[in-house]
Amino acid sequence: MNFSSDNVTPICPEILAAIAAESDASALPYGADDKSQMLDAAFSGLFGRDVSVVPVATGTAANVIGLSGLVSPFGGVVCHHHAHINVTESTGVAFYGGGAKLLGIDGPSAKIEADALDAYLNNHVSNGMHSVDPECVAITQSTEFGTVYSVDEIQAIGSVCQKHDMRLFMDGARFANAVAALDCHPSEITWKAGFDVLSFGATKNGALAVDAIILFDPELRRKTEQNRKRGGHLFSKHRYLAAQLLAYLEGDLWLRNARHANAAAQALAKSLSTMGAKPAFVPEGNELFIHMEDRLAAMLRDAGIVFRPWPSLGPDAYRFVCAWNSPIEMIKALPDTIGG
Amino acid sequence: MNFASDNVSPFCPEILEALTKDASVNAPAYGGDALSQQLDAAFSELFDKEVAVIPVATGTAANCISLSALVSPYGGVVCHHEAHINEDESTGVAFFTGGAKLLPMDGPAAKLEADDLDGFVSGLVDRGVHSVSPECVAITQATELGAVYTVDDVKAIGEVCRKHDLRLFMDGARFANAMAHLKCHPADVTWKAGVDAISFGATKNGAMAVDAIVLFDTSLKPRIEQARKRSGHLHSKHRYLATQLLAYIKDDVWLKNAGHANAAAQALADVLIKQGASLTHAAEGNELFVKMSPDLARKLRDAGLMFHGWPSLGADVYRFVAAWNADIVQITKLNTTLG
Repeated sequence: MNFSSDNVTPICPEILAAIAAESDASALPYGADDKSQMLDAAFSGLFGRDVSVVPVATGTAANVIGLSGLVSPFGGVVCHHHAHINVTESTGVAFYGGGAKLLGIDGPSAKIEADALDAYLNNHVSNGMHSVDPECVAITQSTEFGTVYSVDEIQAIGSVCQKHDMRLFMDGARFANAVAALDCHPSEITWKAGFDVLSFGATKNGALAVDAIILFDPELRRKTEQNRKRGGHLFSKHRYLAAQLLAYLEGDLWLRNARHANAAAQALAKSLSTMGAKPAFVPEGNELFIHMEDRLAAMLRDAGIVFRPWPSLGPDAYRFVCAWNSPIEMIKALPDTIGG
Repeated sequence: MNFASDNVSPFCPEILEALTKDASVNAPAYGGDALSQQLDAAFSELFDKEVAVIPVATGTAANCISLSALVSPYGGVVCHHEAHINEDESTGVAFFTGGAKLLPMDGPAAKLEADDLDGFVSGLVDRGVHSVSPECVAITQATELGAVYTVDDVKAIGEVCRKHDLRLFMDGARFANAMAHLKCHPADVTWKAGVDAISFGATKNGAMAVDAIVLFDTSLKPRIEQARKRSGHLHSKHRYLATQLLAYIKDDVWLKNAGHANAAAQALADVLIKQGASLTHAAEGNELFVKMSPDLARKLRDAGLMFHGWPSLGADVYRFVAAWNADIVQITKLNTTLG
């Protein structure tokens, strides 16, 4: 069993079928095809308001192109120290932002807390053109540590951003896992709380390669599309991005996949606890961070289980990520099959 | 029939089969999987030289990321006015290179000619930090106007580049069509002629979305990989880029597809000429540029043919692009249906 990441998974059957269905006819390129033309309406239906959808093939592209419309080359993006944009996306934000700087702050379980954010922004001293002034706040839902912002937490962050005139961005690489955990309407934790842009992840949760930039402020569309083209992310055969996204929404596939992944993570947490591991955080999405002894780690590896150490949480910390295809029954049986 | 571009085509059956094949198993991410690990060897065999392969999902990304390692932010890239990097890739080259400038020049059928290139570069006055000095030459094979550089053409350009100490890049979005036309070894028009890097196109010629940066100078690899990551072009499920490329070169699918597209373009040229159109220049790849009357253009559109006007060549010029899936029988039948 491979728990090293959710991106080790293949394409789920529904998305593969949607791609395969696009194998006969010719279709207009660069988003002029029928499937691509359906995207705005499909996502507007999902979010309960008019949105613009700009699909790209990777989560990094969705984040850094999404942010490029929200911050000037002279501005800062406040994010958590552990944010993917800060730790795992090279200098992508500066590249697409023309130099914009990430301003990392702390918070428990990779969450930014509204009060701490307010204090940070209040304490920031602007020295005019000499300093980097925050222009945008970026949070990750679910977080890099597998926790989920509640609706109230999201609303509180939105209020702080409104007070300080900050743009608000959400890295939703695992947005589906968060919505599945919260069981709320997607609008509650996005535009109703003041979010301008969301990167709506699909790649980790069953797609081949597509994440959608969702613009709640439609005025950002032109700039975002220009940055996508300039960054080489506009697909000529754009219909294959669209086909994946439409299949991902169809019949709530995105939520079904995410619920499965979350349930697998809960089952894994239980199995590992039985075997002596201690969770570092309460797992709410599909990621699990645990502390365990070397002996147990070795036993799991010997049984063919793949996972990663997570040294930023301590030498005995490890990450396990479940996905839409995780075998829940086998996970439940782990204490019996491996022993403890 | 849609001749608007070769990118209106779907993927070909071999590529779909490859995408479908390992649909149920997990695999390491970011190129650590078994298929991705085969790419360097597969392309090294194809080019008969040790190469490094960095796949991306679009041709613009392949071009701009490649160039980012071949030119400094203060340098220039000599290319043809009609080059895709100059006409159709927004400000991508400047973006990825940190400001490098395109220095366009002319030439017949969108080809750079070695003598002209030598004259252009020799004629530039270097004013140190004040000027933009060329550091790289970029040519497109097959060209944007459907012509193909011969082996001698590319060699001559390579020699000029060596003389002036310029890097040489090839935009190979339609490299397969050029190879199907030349029937030479891929090495002859690339590294043996001094090409440092090529964007090896697959998307237009039967893939879903993948073009490979192929580095003949493998020392460029770390820098290219960093530029790919920084720009969001490193796929987590990298195996799906790899599987497309491996299926594309296996059993010469790339050359079969391109040979078909080129033959379809020739068949279409025959039909159009019979209808009274004329080619602006010889069609050597899968693209045709034709002069025709508004009446004939209307007649073709009424018959369901799709194609673009190409005003840069004249008000009465149009482009037709045939792809791997063009129906040659239907094209030939146009002779009777059009009358």
